[in-house]
Amino acid sequence: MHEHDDDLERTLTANLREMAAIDAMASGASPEVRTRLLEHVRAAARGRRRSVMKAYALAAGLAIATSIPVWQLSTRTAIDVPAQVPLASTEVASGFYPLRYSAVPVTQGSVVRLELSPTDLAVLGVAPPGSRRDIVMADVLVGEDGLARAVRFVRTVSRDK
Amino acid sequence: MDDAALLTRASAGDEAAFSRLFARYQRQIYLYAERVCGCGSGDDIVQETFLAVLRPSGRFDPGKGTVPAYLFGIARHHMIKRLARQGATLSEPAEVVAADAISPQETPIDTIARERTIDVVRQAVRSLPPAYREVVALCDLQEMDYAMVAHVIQCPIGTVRSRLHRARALLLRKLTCTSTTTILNAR
Repeated sequence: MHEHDDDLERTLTANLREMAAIDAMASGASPEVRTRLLEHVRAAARGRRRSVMKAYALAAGLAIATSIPVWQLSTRTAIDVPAQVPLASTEVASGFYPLRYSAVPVTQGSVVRLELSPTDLAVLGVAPPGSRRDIVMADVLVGEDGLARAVRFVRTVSRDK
Repeated sequence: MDDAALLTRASAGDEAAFSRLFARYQRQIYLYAERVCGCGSGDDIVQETFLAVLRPSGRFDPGKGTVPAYLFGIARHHMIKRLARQGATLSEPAEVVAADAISPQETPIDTIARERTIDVVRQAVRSLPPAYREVVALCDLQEMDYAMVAHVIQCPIGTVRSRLHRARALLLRKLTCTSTTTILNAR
């Protein structure tokens, strides 16, 4: 009986193998499936190329958009102070640092001496030389429109040595 | 070029790589679908499987298995959906229905042509519950190893073995009930 079962198992296996061999001669999916899929591949490739072009265009746009302010910032150091602002003999000053509105054209301006707290300086968007935390003296160049264009820091020094 | 490299390039829109991958696996997936879901399902399943390769969401992870297992897994996912529409499932039935005989084709069986015999076997395979049909298709007909079948159908190897054992037992019962001089004894 057991032997008979084994025979049946073997015969079944042989039948299944034969069936698999017959099926193996089948070509598989119809050619239309391959054609349709290849159209999808081409469409996907075109879509990817478009995405890459868009990414390049976006990157170029960003580069231009950021390079303009960077260029403006870099040129801010060349700000022209209308006149030499005199200093007392006991004072030393830094150069004029450009502020946010330094690019706005100015025809007439005046220099205003101010005492600025670190908070004021932060509002102006500058840090004092040496990162000092106390009140600093500063000359602010203000245009005729009231907008601050530049600032310099002033320090009093003792001459008696 | 190995399967993983082909798949990566195919997913990136490389037409030549896609064609090679398609040529390598379409027939196996086609037969798997036809055997489990029935005639007419092969084209759709092959198409859905290879379309999934092109979708950005369907990324292959080599750490999780082989490319054929990945492709068969996608195919199976679509087959489950297809079977669900027919009210069938790929889950193993809780109780195996008593063997219903395949309608006798011809008697005496000795005269049945070889093709006829295979047709009866094919019919018997098709009459199995989908979960059993699937393991017979993958293990016996596609000669996939148990580990890969376990990966494709997402169950332990032991379950694959036991399911295949039950499937073959049911298949034998169906075939031996077919005729007094059975298909199996005819060989």
